Amino acid sequence: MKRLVLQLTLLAGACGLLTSLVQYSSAERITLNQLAYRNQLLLQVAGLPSADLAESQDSRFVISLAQEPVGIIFPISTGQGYNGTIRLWLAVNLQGEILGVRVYAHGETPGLGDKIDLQVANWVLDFNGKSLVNTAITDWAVKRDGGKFDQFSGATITPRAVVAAVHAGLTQFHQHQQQWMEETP
Amino acid sequence: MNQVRQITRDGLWQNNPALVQLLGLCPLLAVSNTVANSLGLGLVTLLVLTLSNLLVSSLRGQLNSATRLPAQILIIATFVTCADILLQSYWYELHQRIGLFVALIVTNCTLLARAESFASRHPIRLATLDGFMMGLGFLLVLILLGGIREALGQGTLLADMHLLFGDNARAWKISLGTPGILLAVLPPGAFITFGCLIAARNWFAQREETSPRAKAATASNTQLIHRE
Repeated sequence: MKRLVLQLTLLAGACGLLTSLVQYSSAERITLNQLAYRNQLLLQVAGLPSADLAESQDSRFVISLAQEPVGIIFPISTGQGYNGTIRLWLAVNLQGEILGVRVYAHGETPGLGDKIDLQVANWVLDFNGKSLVNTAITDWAVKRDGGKFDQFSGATITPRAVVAAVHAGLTQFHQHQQQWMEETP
Repeated sequence: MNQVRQITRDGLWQNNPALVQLLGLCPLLAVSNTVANSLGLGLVTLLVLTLSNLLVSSLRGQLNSATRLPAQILIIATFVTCADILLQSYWYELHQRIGLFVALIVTNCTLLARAESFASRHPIRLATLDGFMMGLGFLLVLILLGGIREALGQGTLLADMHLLFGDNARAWKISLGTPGILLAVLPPGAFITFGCLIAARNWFAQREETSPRAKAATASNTQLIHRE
């Protein structure tokens, strides 16, 4: 009995040691990978091949090119979709024009509402270049509601929710632009 | 020599972990939507299965029936955890896609089944070979399933191979020019394709059994198993 307990303890100790060694030697590399991967995804949203990102409060990121801030990326979300919360990244330049919009989490119906996902359709690219100045407030709606954005056949609720969320995000940006750009660490 | 051939045949065809034993289906069905994902998960499984069989077999003299199972699970869990961490440090983007199912390899019954029913009763050399062949059998089925689903679902083959082999592999992608069928990518597509694969394997196996040449082979195989 004693021998068995000792054997299992030894084995558990050896396994634990091996795992800790691997973990310890990889931790730094993994953290770097996570950062690089996150930055790569965020820069894709902004449509910039390379730029510096500085994280500020509430997971907002200030984009800088050669030390000069050129825009900001921040998360927005809406509960007005067909199924659960839709979460998006919104990238805006200093003039308030949209650099890019990406949906990163949603539960919309595959084949219908999921066209808001860039992997499925290019719909989300229609937002690029739009701002509160160059697009009138009545145009911030799907075409069925008299706006400028396409709805999907069989799914109007999802694009309607996303258009409203992006518009709300832009409004938020206009209200807080000064504050958001200054809080950079 | 005969034993080596028998183990190889068992892992790849006769007793294939996926198509015949129907083990480890959760990761198999979930990950097999592209060749790249399939290859990633299949390779990790192959590696862990080989190593765990090796270690379980080398400890088989020390362990008795009470400690064997906890020890085997401990060994498997250790190798899977290490593989998971290494995947995060060297193939991070691939890990983002299949990471959930890498951790689930611990619960892949193929590993425990091979450790308990084979590695703990056979010498190291044969146990390692068994782990490798079972892993290879699993890997081949995964790739086949991934290939069929990718071709039907996306109309491509070998897309995203840069996740495994670096940027040069981006050029490996073959576009078949066929429209993607959504069903093949979704979970039901996995079940349907896998069912067709099992049916095809059974059809071949049955044809093999009825041919006179194979009858003789099966008879000698059965003798071998009885002798063991």
